[in-house]
Amino acid sequence: MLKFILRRVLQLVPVLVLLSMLVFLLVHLVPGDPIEVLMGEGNSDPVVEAQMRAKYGLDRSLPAQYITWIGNVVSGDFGTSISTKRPVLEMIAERFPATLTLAFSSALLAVLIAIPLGITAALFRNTAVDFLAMGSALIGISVPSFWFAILLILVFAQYLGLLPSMGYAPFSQPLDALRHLILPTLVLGTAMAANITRLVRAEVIEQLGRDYVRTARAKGAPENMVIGLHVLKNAMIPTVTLIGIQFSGLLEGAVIAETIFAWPGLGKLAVSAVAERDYPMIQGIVLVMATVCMLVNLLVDLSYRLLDPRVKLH
Amino acid sequence: MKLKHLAASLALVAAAASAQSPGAPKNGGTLKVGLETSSLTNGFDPAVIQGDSTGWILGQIAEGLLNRDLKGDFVPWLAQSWTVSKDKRVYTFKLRQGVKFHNGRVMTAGDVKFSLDRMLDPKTGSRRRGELSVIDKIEVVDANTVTVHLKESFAPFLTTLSGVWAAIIPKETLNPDGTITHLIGTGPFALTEGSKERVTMKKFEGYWRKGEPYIDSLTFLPVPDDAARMTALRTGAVDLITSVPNQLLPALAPNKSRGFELLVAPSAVWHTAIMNTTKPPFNDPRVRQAANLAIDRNMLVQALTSGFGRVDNQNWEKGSFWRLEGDPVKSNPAKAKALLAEAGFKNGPPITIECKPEYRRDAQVIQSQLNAVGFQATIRVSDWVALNQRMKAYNFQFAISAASGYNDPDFRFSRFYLKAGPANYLAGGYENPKVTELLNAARVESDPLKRKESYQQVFDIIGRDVPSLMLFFEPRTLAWREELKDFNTNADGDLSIADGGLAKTWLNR
Amino acid sequence: MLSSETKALGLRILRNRLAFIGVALVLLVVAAALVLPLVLPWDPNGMDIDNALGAPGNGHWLGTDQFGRDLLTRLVYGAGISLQVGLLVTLCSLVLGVALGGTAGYAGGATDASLMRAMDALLAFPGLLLALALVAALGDSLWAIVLALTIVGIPRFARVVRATVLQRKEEDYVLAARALGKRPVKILVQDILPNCSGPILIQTTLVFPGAVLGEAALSFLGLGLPPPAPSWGRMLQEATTVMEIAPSIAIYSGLAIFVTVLGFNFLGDGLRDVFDPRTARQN
Repeated sequence: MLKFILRRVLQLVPVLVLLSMLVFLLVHLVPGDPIEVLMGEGNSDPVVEAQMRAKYGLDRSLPAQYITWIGNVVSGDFGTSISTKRPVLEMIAERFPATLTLAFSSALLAVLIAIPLGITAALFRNTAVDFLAMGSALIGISVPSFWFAILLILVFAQYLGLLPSMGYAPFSQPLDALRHLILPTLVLGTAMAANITRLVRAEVIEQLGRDYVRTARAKGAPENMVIGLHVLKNAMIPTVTLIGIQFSGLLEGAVIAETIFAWPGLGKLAVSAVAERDYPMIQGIVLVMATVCMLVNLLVDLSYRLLDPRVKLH
Repeated sequence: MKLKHLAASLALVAAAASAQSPGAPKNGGTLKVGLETSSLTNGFDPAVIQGDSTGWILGQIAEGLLNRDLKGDFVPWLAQSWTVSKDKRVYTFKLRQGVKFHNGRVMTAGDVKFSLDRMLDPKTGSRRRGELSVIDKIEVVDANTVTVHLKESFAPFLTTLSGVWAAIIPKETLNPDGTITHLIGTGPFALTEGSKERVTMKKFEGYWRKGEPYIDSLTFLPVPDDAARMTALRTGAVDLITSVPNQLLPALAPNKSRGFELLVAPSAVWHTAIMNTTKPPFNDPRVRQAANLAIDRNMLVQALTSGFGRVDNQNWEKGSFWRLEGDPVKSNPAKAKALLAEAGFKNGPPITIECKPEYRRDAQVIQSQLNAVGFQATIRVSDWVALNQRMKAYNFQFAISAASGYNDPDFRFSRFYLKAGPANYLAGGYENPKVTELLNAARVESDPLKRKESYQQVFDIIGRDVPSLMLFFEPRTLAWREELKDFNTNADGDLSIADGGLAKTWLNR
Repeated sequence: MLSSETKALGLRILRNRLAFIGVALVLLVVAAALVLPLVLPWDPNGMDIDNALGAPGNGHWLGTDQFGRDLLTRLVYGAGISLQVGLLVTLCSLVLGVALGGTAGYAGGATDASLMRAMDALLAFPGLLLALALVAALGDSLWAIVLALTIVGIPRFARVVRATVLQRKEEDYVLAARALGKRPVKILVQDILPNCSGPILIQTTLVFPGAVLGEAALSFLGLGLPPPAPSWGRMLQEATTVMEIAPSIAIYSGLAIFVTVLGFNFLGDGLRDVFDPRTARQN
């Protein structure tokens, strides 16, 4: 087990290196640099600009800049944000909890809805319950999340005045924090739930058609917990995979939700960093987000072992 | 210099808005302000700030030697008084005594010298360094007196000193590397914590203006999305917003039961069209005039400000001192077509209208007006950094942008229409020796009437050459919840003006 | 003339309830995109400022937008944009994904590992930021958007093709072809890929609506085609500003996106049911 984990973590490294080069290149391809941003419109002062470029090492060649940056990253220094002058890691750490909170609550909502719904739909296949569940799921994956968000805000914040339309309250005020969390979670969670419901239903149906279930039924054994547990475990493997994939999609869908709900998370920070050409910040955020995604997928792979000891981890 | 009439009408509307204010100000409460920006501030260093919203925020924390009042006149602020030498090259400021910084220390002349020197140091990276480069040296005469020596007489000097970037700050606010992340100043509010998403401040009990501010704490939030901002105001997520979507004004302005106070007033922000005079097709003045005549400015006001903006050809109000002669041009599509034909275009030149995302609506209306006379215009929207870079490299044809302020005519003209001006690219690279001569002379001229004569000539020449077009003026719109009392502001929407702004407003709840 | 097999397949598809609804909705949207522009008298970009945000009437079936342009006409032209982007993105992802996945699966070893790692890196890159950077770098053109959305779509095809190729490449007919000296590319194209058509088709039904939704999301955020192009996402965003006085624009543009994506999803589900009920698990 340990060897497996170690090997997978090591495999992360080349991907991350490739990613770092990709983001470095991409970010420098975009026209304009942070000094242009700092100077602003209607100001060209070559003396100041040259000085500032030298100060931030932006006058050196691209490979040289990359090597310096990646070297620092490896020793834990993600650099300093050029627009706010604060350490990148510090700003990421500040914002991370907000995005993570949103991602986790959405994933939780999704799983809490999808798994029972999917199982029920599978068990009552081709009945009204099934059609209702599948119809909702189909609608759920087709509704544009930003439209849904707008409609929710219109109804709950404006007309009913029940929930806040934007912002984030820290956990020190738990009730307020929850109120602010509800709408964004609904938006992100329902889309994810729709996807997962469809998969769970398909998986459970497939498992119910498998030999061991049919044998048990033929033997006249009651549909008991043991079979149910097996069906569930087997259906969960692809489900958990999907959750893992969707989680990375969550971090990204969070960008739209964060924009609409003014949620101060990483997504918003990344978007404003791009607007400000804050190279260290963009690079830092992409690396962090990618690492989190890959770690989540690693966890997913590890969970296979729990769900089915026969699964060989290779 | 004086936007008297503008400001007067503003004050009237504001007064009407708070006509029901009951009695004496109450102390206490938290005021939340929603700004139309996606990033509140790019830092807390006044010398390096950018953007209106950053100025309004930092203006609560740090102050300068002068301030402006509701009418736009200079008033003494941290400087109690000042004198100017006969040759207009030496300014002597007598500082107000006993003004405390947020860390408790009293402000002295040394702090003034420190702040201004810092602005002039290229290492600070101040974008305004150029404007203050006329300063030769700053002397501390005694604990409360500072003299500033200029290299030459510079008429707009006081204007430069009244901006937030020239705020007086203590050296203790600097980080070891010379940057500022936690700003300390003399303002009515002291910074508690600040980031792009949220800036909070609390009342500074030792503020030099006794009794102010009334509010206990202040929070700024960014709400760039129009609909979200209106919802935030209605639900109480914020108490004050600094911009109401123009398209809603026809429904909101006359509606007394809208549930909040609304201020719609003329502003000093105008939208502009910039043509690249260094490359075809706009290197030909006839093509530029064609564009100028193709545009129907009244229609722009109707389409983009729902009729609440105004058309004018200069930023000085009628009746103010610097008001120059000449009426705004009337649209004349027939003449525009004729000019294009004269310039040799049978089918009109294909051009690209460039703009930042905020001006997409402007671009669409202008596109339809230009195409109606024969231009074949397409639109390209880019983020401002990319566009700015392209414009600096004169790699564009037609761009839409906006500008504001520039009350002093030297700022208004020299920045743009001098080849050496820092914003010459925002006038499409315009260069005219006669204009250069006139502007340089006016800058050092001390007789205002002679200056005005020069500027009139510049104005006339530019009216013929039209490197850039003044399109229309936006309305200034602010809205606040009824609990907020005695709130007023000037044409710039400045939240830290003398006798107004957030220091004087109070909450009735 | 269609072969009897194709006809039989067609009937099976139409008999499936899901596919039927899907086909109906998709045809509705396609018809709107192709036919209505010829029928409606309005210029989608023709402004009429005095009639801004007008209610339905005077030939404006759904009213007018903020500049007095006919809303229905703009929605219809918007369908053309969505379908065009969806088609381009699906085609490009398909071609590139199949090529990459096939090569990786067939070549194996280092080529496989490096191609797959490269794809992992690309997938781990937050798609929205990628789109932002691409549009900032390349300008707001159709191809920038297609590129941004294609990059996200490629791995879907690549993974599925690679899996199938891995499965099949040790089978007898492939070994025989190799023994005969057939070139690998030919083997891939002629022998193996036809067997992938099921999974490829299924991915297509997933990628297309994803591309339509993606284009709507990008234009909602301001990264879509330049104005005055009537992208639905953009129309929705602009409509939110005036929602309190003219909510219909926001409702209709959102509805347009929803109905289109829903139609393709119905169709996709139906096709999956028809081709292989078991492979419906591959989301």
